[in-house]
Amino acid sequence: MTPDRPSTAVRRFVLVAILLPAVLTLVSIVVQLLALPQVPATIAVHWGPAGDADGFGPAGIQPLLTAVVGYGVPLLLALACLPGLRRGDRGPAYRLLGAMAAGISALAAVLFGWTLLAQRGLGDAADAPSVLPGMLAALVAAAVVGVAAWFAQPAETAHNVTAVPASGISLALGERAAWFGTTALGRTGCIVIGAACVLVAGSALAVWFSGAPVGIALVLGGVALLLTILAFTTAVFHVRVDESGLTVVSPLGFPRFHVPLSDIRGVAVGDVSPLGEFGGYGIRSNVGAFGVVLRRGPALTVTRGSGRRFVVTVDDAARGGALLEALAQRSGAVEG
Amino acid sequence: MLLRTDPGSDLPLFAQVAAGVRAEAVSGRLKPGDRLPAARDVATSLGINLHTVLRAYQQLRDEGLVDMRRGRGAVVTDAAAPLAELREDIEALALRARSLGLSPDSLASIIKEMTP
Repeated sequence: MTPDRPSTAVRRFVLVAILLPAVLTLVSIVVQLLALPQVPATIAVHWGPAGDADGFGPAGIQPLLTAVVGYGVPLLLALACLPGLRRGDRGPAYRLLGAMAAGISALAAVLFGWTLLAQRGLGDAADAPSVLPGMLAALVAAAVVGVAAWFAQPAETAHNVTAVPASGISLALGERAAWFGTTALGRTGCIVIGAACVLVAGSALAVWFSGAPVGIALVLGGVALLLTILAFTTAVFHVRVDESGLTVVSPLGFPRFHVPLSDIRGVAVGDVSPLGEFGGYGIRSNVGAFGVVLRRGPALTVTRGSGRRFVVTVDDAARGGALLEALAQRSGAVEG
Repeated sequence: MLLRTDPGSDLPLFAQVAAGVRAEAVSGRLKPGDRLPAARDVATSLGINLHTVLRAYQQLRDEGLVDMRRGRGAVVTDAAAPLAELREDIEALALRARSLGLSPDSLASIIKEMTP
């Protein structure tokens, strides 16, 4: 039984994922604003592979970008995690997302602050020094802050308060039964993944028209195409419970995930938030769990012999789980 | 969709499968427009002959509960909606019949004899 420490996990998460990023971002913005009079009106905002400046923009953009990334990203991560945390969900997945929020804000604060400060006293932004020291410093800061944020949060075993052991079906001798369900990308998932595809395709087009080497545009175009194909092939899954176990398979036949009855240690049914527990929608992996989580809501969670959990969001999960539990019991895999 | 088959039952397997689908429609879990799983998958999962499942699907099509479409499989028709509406009436009737000593099987037979 997991020791019940409701407030510490939530308090520390808020500290590292909201308060700390807010402070780091604010410090960076103030430092940049104070340095603005000393940098050229147009500064270098992009560097080529060799480290020389090749993209320029108004100096005021830098503190603005710092605010957008430094406040925006932690806010999105916190919004994804807080509902689950507040209702009592816990686990290393939440701890990781809290650490990521802190690390990303440190990265943005140091990177944007450093590259702006490095251009003080310059007459022409083209003379801007290489971005590499700033990037290195930012990565180190992100790692240090991220690790500190991880250890600042308590270690909790994965726990979803809505999850209950599956039950409710008993099979007669010689009776055979099967359960069929379908799961599809929910509205939020469609929007997020669709936006990602559009963004990559858009940047491929932008690179094409900007006159950059054709190779880059082709690579970006290829990535956009691959992303769209992957999105379509993993947007719907058929879920099946029968004598062979649990099978989750795309209508195309691949990808396919299967848990045999013999590998089932426990079956639970609950309400899962893909964003909070896996950091996103789709086929996801996180600490201690692997999931086909296409939308928020009812989900089936199977604990395998290794202790690792397999999660699939699907309607009517209660009956699917009940049948899986009954079949596993009958086969001797789980204790009745 | 949950399907259960009992080899010891008097009802032939294809009728059990059809009855299972009908029960899902009546309970509202299957709605008009829902696609039934591929007959091959049902056959494999239940360990029965593919033709048994196809026969069940064909019976449901003859009843107007599903449409068989090329490339899409069996799709539940709008006829499923009134079935769900009837559920409460059916439950009440079955309850009343049982209180009068009539089993669901007997009730079903009587209904078939009474309706043209």
